Amino acid sequence: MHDARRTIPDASSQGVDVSNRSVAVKVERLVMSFGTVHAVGGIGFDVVPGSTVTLLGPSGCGKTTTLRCIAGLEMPTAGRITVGGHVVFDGENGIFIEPERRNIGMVFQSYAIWPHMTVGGNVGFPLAISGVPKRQAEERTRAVLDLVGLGELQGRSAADLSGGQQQRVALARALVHEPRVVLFDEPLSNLDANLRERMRTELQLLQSRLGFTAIFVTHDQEEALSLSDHIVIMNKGLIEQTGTPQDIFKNPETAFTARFLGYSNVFPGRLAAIGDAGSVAVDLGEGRRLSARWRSRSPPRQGADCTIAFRADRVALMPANDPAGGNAFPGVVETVAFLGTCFDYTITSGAVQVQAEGPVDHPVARGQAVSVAIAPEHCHAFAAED
Amino acid sequence: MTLAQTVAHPLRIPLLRGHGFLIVAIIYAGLAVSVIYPLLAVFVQAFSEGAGLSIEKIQEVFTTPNIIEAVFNTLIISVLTVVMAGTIGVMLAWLVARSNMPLKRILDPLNMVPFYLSSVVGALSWQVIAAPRAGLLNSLFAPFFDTPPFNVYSVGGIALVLGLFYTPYVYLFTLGSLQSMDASLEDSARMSGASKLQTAIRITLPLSAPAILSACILVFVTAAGIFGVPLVLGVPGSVHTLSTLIYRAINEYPADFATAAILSSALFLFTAIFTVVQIMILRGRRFTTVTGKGYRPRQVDLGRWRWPAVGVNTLYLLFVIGPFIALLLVSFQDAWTGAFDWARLTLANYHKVIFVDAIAKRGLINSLFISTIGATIAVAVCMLLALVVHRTRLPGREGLSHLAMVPVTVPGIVLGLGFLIALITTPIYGTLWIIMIAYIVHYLPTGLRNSESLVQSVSRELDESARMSGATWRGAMWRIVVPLVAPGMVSMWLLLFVTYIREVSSSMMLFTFGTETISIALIQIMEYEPYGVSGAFGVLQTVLVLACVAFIRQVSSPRQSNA
Repeated sequence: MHDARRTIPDASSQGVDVSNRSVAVKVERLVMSFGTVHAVGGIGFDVVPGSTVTLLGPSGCGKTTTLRCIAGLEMPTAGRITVGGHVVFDGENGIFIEPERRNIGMVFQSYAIWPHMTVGGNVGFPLAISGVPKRQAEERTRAVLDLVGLGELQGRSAADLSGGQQQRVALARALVHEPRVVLFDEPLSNLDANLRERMRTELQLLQSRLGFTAIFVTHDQEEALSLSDHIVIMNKGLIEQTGTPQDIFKNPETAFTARFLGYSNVFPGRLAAIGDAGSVAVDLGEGRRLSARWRSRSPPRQGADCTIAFRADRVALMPANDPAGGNAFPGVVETVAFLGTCFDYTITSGAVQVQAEGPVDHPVARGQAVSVAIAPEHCHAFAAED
Repeated sequence: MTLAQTVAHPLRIPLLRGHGFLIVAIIYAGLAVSVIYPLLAVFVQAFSEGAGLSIEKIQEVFTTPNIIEAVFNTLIISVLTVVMAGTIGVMLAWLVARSNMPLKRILDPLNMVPFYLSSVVGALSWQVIAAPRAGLLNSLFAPFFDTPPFNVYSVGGIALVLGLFYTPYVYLFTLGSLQSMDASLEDSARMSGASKLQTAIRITLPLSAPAILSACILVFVTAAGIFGVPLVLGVPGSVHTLSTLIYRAINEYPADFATAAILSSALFLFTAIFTVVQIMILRGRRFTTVTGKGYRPRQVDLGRWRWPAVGVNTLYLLFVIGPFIALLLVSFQDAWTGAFDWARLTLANYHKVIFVDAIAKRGLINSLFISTIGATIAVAVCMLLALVVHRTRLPGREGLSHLAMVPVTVPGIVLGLGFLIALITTPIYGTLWIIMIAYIVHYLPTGLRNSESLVQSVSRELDESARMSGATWRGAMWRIVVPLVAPGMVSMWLLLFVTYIREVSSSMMLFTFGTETISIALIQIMEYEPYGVSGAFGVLQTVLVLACVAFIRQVSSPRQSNA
């Protein structure tokens, strides 16, 4: 279930053998242990130049640690990291390149704006450090500040910037020395909802204009889905699944991924029958049975425990005993909540509680007996979780 | 956790930069030589009277009647000091933090003033008002009593002065705990039906108990090891404590190093055990008290007791500051007749201590030299230690800060004896440098705590982003961390400077003719000059210290918010 190594193909070149193409960042068998705790348990993935990859997972899954290992801010326990064709860490051969020599830009969660400098001082710092002549450095600083829309703030003290401005300054600082790769550690989590959406769009524009490779870390699935070419879902220091946003969202490979991507109906069951082409029948107990698609990599075994998952918006509420129901089981509407664009229902069926969404123009009353129907292609079955 | 962290993965060893390892090794060696070696010297001396290992001398020492008496005196003084400082400190802290006592904003900083003043000068000023013959109070009350009612040359007198001067320690700890307490903890007690008093006793007090207890232990051990006040107030009345006996043993002819070392070892064991207990209590506190956020604690309405509360606080200040004012008056009189006399107004005393008296001049210059250079070195050393501990991944770095905290368990007089025994045969003995080294080592924990909290107040991401911008480790520290903590470093320097200026205990063990410090000079002047002259010198030291303190407050008041 946990693959130690996956390759993420470029979105525009699916199916092409990527091993021959240049790779912006290559992580191999990366292990990071704190004492006996494995924060990262031996993972690997490739990032294609110019693409955006997001490490997605709950807090403590090892995503930030992985990012910091790429940055050089943590010393990994084992493995190998290559950035732009240069090995920056190799546990076996004792190679560790200090962070300042990796030519990577980074935007920190807190933005890490130096309060004792001006905005221009912050952004121009990487150039000053690398000895770029002053005149030239100032021009480049100005240019990159213009790019993020803060050109007029160059001489202002960095101590009293708003959250959004700090974010832009941090971004400008990460971009000013034109790094091959830019790392983003939860860059949007400190902004309010409106600003977050705007910055997301701006980031995408900037990236398509400048063409840098971006690696994001976030726990926000919406952010990950909207920003990335590829997503790496992490759990307990290992990779659960990788793929394009659409692919992952449509075809979760594990119950964890499904749950993490907002599948609100996840139930234990038993494999009652194995059909063709990955179709299976899942027994949910007390006579409830659903047809589903088998998603796990391991083959299904008749009679084995399994997990079934489907999204609330894929549930159709039919009148009770409607013969058109097909893949369905009966239940009673327990709660009704109006959410503006839809109704949110809880339907009780014996020991099972199903979350469902319904259209606003056909409300279903509380207490009503219904048939809970889900198309088989929207029912995902997985090998049982440990 | 720490154990697990020290178990390095085998792969890490080839990754170690050679010089990183070397740096840590050098720092360990430096700390071992300056912190551990003097202590070892005391122990070795204590057990090696004559040839080989021996405990006969130890038995002999602890059966000597006047030593037994001194042990009792030390204990009584410590207990009385704790009772006094604890009671007043907790009461004042509660009034300032939790009541609507008027004038709090003025009283709060004044309550901290004794923290910075020299307790030796305090003892001198109490001599002025409560010495058996010439004391101001005794001459005031003379008509009503047959014998002078006040005698500051006593166990009670020593404890009174110490209690007054150590009240701010308890005050500060308690105040911090009371102010940071989450008000909802008390509010929910009230909502559960507890009265104000019940809430105070069953919720507030237990929550601040670790802070209060640990402050009391600190005061207890400090009082047990203190040297200046018992020397000034005890020796004239033949009241001895362990510390004054250690000093006497060294100053006898021939010097009795064995007795001094044995007494020092006993004193060290005593303070070390209690200090470890105190550190453990404080460590536990992190889990028991108080979240940072929440509401400001509610203030108790004192009603008609509001102004009497001001009176109580003022009375404390009067006990501390009143004698200083008396000392100030005395210093401007050419002879002290028990009352201020305009006809006797003079600046001669100041002229004498600044321009004439050789020892006074030497003391002043020596102390300024030691304190200026010493504080500078100490700030540099402590900042470097804090940066290595908190901003590197070097192996063994946590151990460094533990090792550097060891002197917190050692009374100054014991440390002074250690340096004396360890360095008496070297050319450094008899110079100002040996005193400076003793100061730096003795107050290393003060400096390190300061610099560690400074470094930790700077978010790691600030220097990590400098690394990502291409700066080396040294560049990131020098251009980001150090500028951000610079104001804090200035107040740290001033705090150490003030501390060095006041130091008595280890200087007393280490000075020789020509290397007297300001406190040594004061003590010597007190022996042969009238109150006016020593008063002038004491006032001079106090003004110097208070000017620094005022400057500290100035520097540290607008706190760097982003850092």
